[in-house]
Amino acid sequence: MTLTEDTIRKYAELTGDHNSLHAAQENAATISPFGGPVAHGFLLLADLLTNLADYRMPLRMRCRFLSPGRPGDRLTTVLQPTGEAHDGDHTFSVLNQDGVTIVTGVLYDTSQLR
Amino acid sequence: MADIADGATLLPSGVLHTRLEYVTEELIEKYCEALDEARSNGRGMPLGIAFVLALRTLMDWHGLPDGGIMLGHEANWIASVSVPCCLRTTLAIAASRVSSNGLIIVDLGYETRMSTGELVLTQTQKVLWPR
Repeated sequence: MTLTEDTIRKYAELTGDHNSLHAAQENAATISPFGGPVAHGFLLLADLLTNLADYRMPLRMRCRFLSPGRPGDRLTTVLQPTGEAHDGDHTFSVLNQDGVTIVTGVLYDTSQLR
Repeated sequence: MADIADGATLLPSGVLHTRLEYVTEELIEKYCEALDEARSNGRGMPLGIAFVLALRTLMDWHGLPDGGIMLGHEANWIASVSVPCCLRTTLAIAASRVSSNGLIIVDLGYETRMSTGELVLTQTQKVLWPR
């Protein structure tokens, strides 16, 4: 998935979250603590959700947002079994094109992952 | 707020806001269009709608200052939801505190129920709260 200003704008419209951190305004580089517009955190999870096909309830996900996703970032989601006794539990990481982990988390009860 | 001590509670815990959402095919289409995502689960509600419900409820409350940053999130999808349906999402503050480096951290909680009262979704969210 590649983040674009258009994707961020559409997600802001959908959710009503027009936080100025997400706005592609001319002075974003100076007013944002990130030096420019960033994506909504939930947008960074979009690839993860598309990996869940015919999911079974209940399902639980926990994540931490480590770094922002920016317009132009190409995101890759990496899923790995936890190796623990709970069948189907996976850790996941969302990486940008530079290999930087921007989200990390755990999906529980995910034996239905494709 | 510089005089607030490390670890102090800032905001009273409790319910802040409740929002009704009619989850329709139109909403699902807008969601899929926004995320460029094909719908893959028949008549069921896509998992990512949970985040839409949380954000819409939070924004509808109008209490979050501009500049809030999400640090973490947990979602529990408890039961499948068919579309269309009417869901009620309740937003509450679970905890708030000042971190050791002076940042305000607020834990928000969301509960989403069917019109029958059945709990279908819970979410918690850690937010860096602007001063």
